[in-house]
Amino acid sequence: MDARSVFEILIREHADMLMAFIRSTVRDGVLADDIFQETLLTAWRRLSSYDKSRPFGPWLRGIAGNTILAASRQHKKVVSVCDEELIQLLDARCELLARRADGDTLDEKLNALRDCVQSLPDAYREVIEQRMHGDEESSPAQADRLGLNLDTWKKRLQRARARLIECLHRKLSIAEAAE
Amino acid sequence: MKQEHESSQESPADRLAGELLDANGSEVEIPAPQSLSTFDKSRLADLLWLNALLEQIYRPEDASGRSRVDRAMQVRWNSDRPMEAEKPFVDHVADRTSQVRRSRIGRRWIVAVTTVALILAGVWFQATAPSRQAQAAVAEICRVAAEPLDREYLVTLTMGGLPPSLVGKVEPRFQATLFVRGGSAFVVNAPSLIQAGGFWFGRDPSGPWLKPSIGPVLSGPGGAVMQALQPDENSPFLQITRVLNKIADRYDVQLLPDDIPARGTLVAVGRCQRIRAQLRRDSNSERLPDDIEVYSDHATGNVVRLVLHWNRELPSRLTQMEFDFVQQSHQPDNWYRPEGHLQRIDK
Repeated sequence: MDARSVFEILIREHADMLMAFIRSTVRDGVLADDIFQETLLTAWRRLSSYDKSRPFGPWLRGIAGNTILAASRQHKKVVSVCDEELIQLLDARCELLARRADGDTLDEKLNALRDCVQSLPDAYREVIEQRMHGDEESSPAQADRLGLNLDTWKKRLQRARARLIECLHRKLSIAEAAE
Repeated sequence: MKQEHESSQESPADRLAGELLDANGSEVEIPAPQSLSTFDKSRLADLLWLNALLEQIYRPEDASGRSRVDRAMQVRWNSDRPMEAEKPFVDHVADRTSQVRRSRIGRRWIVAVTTVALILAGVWFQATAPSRQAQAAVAEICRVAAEPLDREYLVTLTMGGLPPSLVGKVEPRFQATLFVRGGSAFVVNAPSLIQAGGFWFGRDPSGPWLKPSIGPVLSGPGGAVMQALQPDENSPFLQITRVLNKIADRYDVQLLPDDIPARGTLVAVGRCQRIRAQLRRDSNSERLPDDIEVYSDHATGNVVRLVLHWNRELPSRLTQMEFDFVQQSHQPDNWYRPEGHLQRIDK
């Protein structure tokens, strides 16, 4: 097995988490794709600096973080955040999910979040699911479709997100305590 | 149109996340992250991270990384070989490969031993899973209880073993109000024990103290009263976090079916997570309760009811302590010091 094959296996294993990390900060899909590709290319070029005794995911996200910071200087309005501390906070959350949630793939690990969504009250789950399915639709249109005032729709969405964050952190901290 | 009236304040992070995620992000004027507090930054990270994970669930075609790997791996791949990188990486892989070859002879043994170990581990895992779930639940409750929030509990003490001629047929019960701030401080008001206005006692990081209804504040080590209040190794009963930590350290725990707290709870709660803890027999702590029952709120992890029970006779004749959650509040900083209660007591 040559280096490329091993590298490709590792990349495929971490690709979804890497993309989630990038899309946490980059709202523009095309730019997110560019950063994803640039990260992989940089990782391949810098393979000699990778310490094989350490996990691959954080190293890859470190490269992605630097790429995002560089991109944010050029595309201020399509990168949500351009701050090292925030990048580190996001990386810590990805690592927590990677290490603590059950499952081998990100999709399996996301079952923890799926459970949280299912446990939401109907009104909150409805607004979350509608929001995630209808990304192209404007907020007023989505609120209207649910028969809600826009402010109410926003508040409900905000509360649903708060509950999901609390639920997910609780699940991950329980998993951590159980180890 | 339905409309909800909200009283909660929107944090800067929530507002910014809402603008980024729910408006057209490209048109949002993004403030410098340095202008956000650490708390808001952490909150913003949570919200952005959550949205990215939800995208993975609901829009995998947009958010999947694996589907992009093929394309990415072909881009200028051959012209961008990692000149110095490839050799050590290949060597590393080659080392691992050769190690595997060298060990091929022993592989069957390894497979056999591993299989047996996995079976044993599986049996052990299944046998201990409920216990570990209960321990994890206790750990989570401990974490929530240690948050530096002010919580108020009604404490009910039941005494036993007193002669009927003295107390009648009913076991005497005493009630007090307990305030705890995480694991760092507590204060108790026991108005029913002394008729002249009751007294306050507590403990903060500088030590225990007692403010009688009449007379000066007693504090610091020494004296029978202060020794009784000192939450030492064997008497952790008034600092709820210490009770919970004792459960984690010295008790066998099991999760019971969810239930509504039977009685005493002063706030309306639904079905709660319920944990029973029994003192390990090898424990030599004479004053620790024999069993403890904990009810905690599923949504918050907050302890809503805690019952400590002794089967043996203590010098204090205490047989049961019940803690019933009243409310979460915000108390002044001196609430856990005698200064916070001087006027209230002496007026």
